[in-house]
Amino acid sequence: MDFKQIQELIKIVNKSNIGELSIEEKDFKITIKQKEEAVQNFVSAPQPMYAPQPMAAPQAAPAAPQAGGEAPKAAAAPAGNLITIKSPMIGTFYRKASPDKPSFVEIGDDVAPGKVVCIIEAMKLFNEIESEVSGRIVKVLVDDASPVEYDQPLFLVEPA
Amino acid sequence: MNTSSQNPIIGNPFIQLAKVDSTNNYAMAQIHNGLAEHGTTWFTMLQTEGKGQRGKQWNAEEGLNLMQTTVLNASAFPLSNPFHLTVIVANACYEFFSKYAGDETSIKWANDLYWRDRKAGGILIENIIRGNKWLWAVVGVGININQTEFEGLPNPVSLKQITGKDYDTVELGKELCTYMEKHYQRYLKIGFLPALELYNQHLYQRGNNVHLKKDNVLFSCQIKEVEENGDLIVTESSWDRFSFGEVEWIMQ
Repeated sequence: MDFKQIQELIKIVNKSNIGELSIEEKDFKITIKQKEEAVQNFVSAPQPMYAPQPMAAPQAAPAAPQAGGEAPKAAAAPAGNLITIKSPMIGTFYRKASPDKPSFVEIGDDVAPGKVVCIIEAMKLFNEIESEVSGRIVKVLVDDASPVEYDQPLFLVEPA
Repeated sequence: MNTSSQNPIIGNPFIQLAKVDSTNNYAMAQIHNGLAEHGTTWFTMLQTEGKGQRGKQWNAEEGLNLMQTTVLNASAFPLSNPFHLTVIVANACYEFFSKYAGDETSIKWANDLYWRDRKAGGILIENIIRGNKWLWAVVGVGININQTEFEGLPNPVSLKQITGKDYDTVELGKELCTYMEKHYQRYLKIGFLPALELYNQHLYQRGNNVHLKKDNVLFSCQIKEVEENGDLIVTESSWDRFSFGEVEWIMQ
C-alpha cells in the first residue's frame, strides 16, 4: 500500500460512519480509527515514515524534522476536550505572513472566529486560514514551511 | 466589446489610491475590518511594498503601470480546486492585454502574462478561508503599461514597448475589471471546463519544447497542456506532469 492509498483510505473513513478500519497484507498492517467529532488518524506501520504528522509530500519544501523511529507524534493528539484546527487543503503551511513578520499565533495566544492562524499556500494561491472557534492555542502541530495534507491537524485549541 | 452596459459589479466601486504599501494588503485589511464588498477594486499609482509571489517584490514606477486588487466573494469557487479562480483571472488578463498587444500575448503557467518571451504582468491571489469555507478572494493584478526602463528583472516588457503608445492606466484598470466581470459571469453560466480550454488555447509555449529544472536537474520537454487540477502536462520527457512549484522554468 503506498502513501497515496493510505491518504485515500483516511479520507474515506473520515467521510464515513466507520469507527475503525484495519487492513492487513503481508508484513503491513494499518488501522484507521475515528473518534467523535475530533477525527484522529491512527496509522501504525512498521516504517516510522508512515506517521501521519510530518508528511513527505511531493512538493520540495524544507523537510520537517521526521519523527525519528519513535512512536508517532500524533499519539499525543487531542486529549480531553481540545479542538483541532485542520488544514482545509493540500499545500504548504506558513506561520507568518512573510519571513520577517511575527507568527500569526503562538502557544498561549487566544483565538476567536475570524482570527488568522496561518497561511497555506496551494497552487500559488495564498490562503489565510481563520479560526472558526474561540479558545487558546495549546499546541502547534506542524513546523513552519512544511507540506500539509487535506484535513491534517494544524493546531490544538483549548476551547474558551 | 462593451460590457459596461450590463451593469458590472466587478470594478464598482473602483477606488484610486495615490500610494499604498500593497493593494492586496489594503484589500485584506478592508476585509478584516468588514469593509469589503464583492467587486470592489483598489487601483494605485504607487506601491511601496508591491508583492509578487511570496516575498518576491514587484517593482513598478509611480503612475506608469496598472496595479490593482479586486475583492471577490468566493462562494462560487470550490475550495477543493482553487485553480478555477486562477484560470478565470488569467483569461481576463489575456483578453484585456491581447486586445492592445495582439496575439503574441500568452498565459505562462501558472499565472503570468507574457508577450513573446517576456513577462508583461502577473497575478497574485490571496484568499480568506474560515474552517472549510472559502470566504473571500483577493485578486491582485500587476501589468506593465507605460514603463520602459526596468531594473533587475530578467525579461520584462510593457505595453508601451510593444505598441509605442502611452496609455491612461486608470482607464485600462477599469477596462480590465469589465473583462474580469465577463469571465466570472461566463464561469457562473457554463462552468470551468470552457474556461480551462480557453486558458490552454493561450498557454505559453504550448506544443513547443522548453527547458525546465526540477530538483536542480535541467531537462527538456514539450508543453502539452494544463490539467483541471492545475498540473502542467508535458511529453517527451521522463516526467509527464508537474504541480505548481515543482519545476522552474529556464528561459532561453
